[in-house]
Amino acid sequence: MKRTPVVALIAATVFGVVACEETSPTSLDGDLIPVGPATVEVILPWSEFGSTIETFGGFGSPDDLIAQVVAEDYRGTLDSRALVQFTTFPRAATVQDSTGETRADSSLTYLDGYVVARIDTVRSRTDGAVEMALNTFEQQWHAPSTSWDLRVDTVLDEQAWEEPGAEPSTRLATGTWNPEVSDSVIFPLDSATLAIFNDTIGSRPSARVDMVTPGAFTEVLSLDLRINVRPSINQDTIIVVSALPERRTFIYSPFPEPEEDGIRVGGAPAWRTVLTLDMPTVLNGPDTLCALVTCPFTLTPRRLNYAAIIITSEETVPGAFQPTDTLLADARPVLVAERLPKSPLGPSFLGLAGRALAPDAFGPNAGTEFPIVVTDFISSLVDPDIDVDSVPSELSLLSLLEPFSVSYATFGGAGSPGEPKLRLILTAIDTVEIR
Amino acid sequence: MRRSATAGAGLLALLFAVPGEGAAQSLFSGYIFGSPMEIGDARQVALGSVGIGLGGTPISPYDPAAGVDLLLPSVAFTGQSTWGSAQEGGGNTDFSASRFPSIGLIYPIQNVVSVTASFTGVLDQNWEVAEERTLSVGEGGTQVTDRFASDGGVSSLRFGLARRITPNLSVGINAGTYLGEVTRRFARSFDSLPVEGELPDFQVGGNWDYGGAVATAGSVLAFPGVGRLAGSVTWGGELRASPTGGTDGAGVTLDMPWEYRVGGTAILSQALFLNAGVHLADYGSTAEALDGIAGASMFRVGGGIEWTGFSFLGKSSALRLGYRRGEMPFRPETETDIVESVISGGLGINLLEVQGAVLAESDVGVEWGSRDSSLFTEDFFRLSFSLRMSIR
Repeated sequence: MKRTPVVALIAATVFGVVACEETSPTSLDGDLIPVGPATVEVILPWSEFGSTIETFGGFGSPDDLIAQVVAEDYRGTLDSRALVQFTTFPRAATVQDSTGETRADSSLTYLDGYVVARIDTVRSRTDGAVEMALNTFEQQWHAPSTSWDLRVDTVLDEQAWEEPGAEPSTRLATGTWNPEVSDSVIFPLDSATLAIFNDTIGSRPSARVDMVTPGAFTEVLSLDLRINVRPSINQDTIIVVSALPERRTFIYSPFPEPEEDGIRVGGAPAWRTVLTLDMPTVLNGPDTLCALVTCPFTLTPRRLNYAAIIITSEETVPGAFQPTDTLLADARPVLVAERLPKSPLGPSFLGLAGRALAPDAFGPNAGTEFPIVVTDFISSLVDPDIDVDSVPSELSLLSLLEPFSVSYATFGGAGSPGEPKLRLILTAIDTVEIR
Repeated sequence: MRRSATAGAGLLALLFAVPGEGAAQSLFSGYIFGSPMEIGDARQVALGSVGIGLGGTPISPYDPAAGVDLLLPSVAFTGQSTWGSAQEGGGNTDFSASRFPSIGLIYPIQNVVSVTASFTGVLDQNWEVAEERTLSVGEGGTQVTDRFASDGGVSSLRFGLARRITPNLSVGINAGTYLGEVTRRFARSFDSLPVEGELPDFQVGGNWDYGGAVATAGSVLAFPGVGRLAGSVTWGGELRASPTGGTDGAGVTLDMPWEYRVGGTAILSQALFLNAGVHLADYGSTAEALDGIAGASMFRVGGGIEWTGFSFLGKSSALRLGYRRGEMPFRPETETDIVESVISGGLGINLLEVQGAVLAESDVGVEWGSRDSSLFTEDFFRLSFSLRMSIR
């Protein structure tokens, strides 16, 4: 009996909570909406929202790449050579003796060998089988900084090759790569040639892989020196040991200097392009805007629905540097403009995956537009409550991975037909009143 | 004594813990400043009462003297669920809501005076508008959906005193403040505009807090063996809506009208009672501050009959029938008054009676109503549940 009020209270509470699903009365009479918002799309040319475009190079190095470019007069322009220095030969190997027991053998006789180069069949550009060459050269080189003209190019040391392109050199072997047959090319080495790479007294010579067939372009994924060895334990047996690359890179010519006011992303070393914005806070046009709202129209974060900088692809010139695979681009705010080109960058506008740029966009499909959504970035620039000097107004366009490839993407720069433009979707609204 | 204090604290906690306003109950809310919520507990609902003149110990902010009949500390609260349907512009809109329109508390002090407190809904301002339209944005135009939503309402929190002057005459007064808030928000979603990435909805809005004083004075005159007659006057004061939290919209002050209520109960037999009442308020000047809204000279009348001569589940119970009709306080400026008419019924059960004192009472009321105007018609079914508990 005493429980009755409690039970009733619980019942009442449950009743109130679950008795019916909340469905707010929704009118379809648009006249009830007490505000008359106007939404308009505005496209601003570069001259109305940007000030400068600067391209900075030197991010990363070709030796950061997995593959080395080997090309000869590719598209009438590009020469590229892979450089490699192998480790010293293995001094011992594990060998089965005549009884079948496995034993260590440190008395090996090096017979002959070969260098095997594995080719990226997808990213290579050849017209059938091509001939490649293995050379050796004596000059020492610095993998992170070497280039076609310089074998060492650091802050404290700059040394040129005796002749550009890691010359002089001695040809050791040639090999043919037929992409329809295999993914590798083999350079045979006799015992005398092989001994060159096992010089442990002087400075070890390096190997250089060249393309012999003009117009061909390949990317070499790996270079290994395989050595046929006769062990002392079981002399009827030939075993194969490997000398792995100690360092490798590639050098290429010509070096494609960026155009002034152009936009370039990618390459090896990589280029970045910084767009400095000079965002207006008041718009007096275009006519499509002023036809719908009162001009001058003050831009505010509330009115700014969407903002995207649209960059337009151009054909990459020289054509040898046109991407052969999808490039992943990134866009980030420059946090300390005074420290460019080494300024730290803010979080990406394009997310972790970046923006995929199809290679055709920089060749036959030049003129493709790539929008970069920068709504929050632009909002901060037009926010009257934010000191404009306290927020970045520079936007860096870069490759998601630096470097990613010797090829690079180009976009229309200031004054070009495909110059950057700013797409704004603006909504102007009266203040919402209580009635 | 300790138990009474604990109970009182508990009752106060309950009073402040449960909201006095809830979800929407009328599509007309969007056309006017809000729908009235001042009808009281489930018993009043079932009897078509305008909130005054009922015997049987109601706790009503509009009948401040009535609580004097309660001799024990008591708390009462009411829950309501509404299902409605409106025929607007050839289309049909369904809606539903649950809410707690009133909570009341009374605490008699040595049979000298009773302290009352109540938290009551005044205006319900929950509603939404959705409209699809095509804008000349982008190639070939863009489909957008505009939504405007109002969320909130006005409540009143009052404290009062009731005292028996003579054995047959009681008076009461309460005073308090308007409370509550409303958020009004516009959102536009872009349904077909091709953009890279996500195009967020455009949103803008504001939030307002309500405040302002309100008071009611009333009396009850009992005629033993015949019935009772009660009247009250409510000073509406100023209902102030103040913008908060960076709201750009202006505030507004409404001169709330004086409200007059008269009601009575006639004893037809030992178990049969007849209740009737009227409610007058002129919202004409109140609406002057509201754009596009006019106030009604509100005249509400209602009444019903109650039969207490039976038991249900072994408990003494009551059956009720009622009818109520009257204008809503506001209407669109260009339209006629919105008239609400309701047929109601209900059941009351005394859950716990000890030595003739009802310590727990539960009431259920149902309403079938309609609201008519030159704009459209709205039908609704409302289920109310009240519980009153007393502590010895």
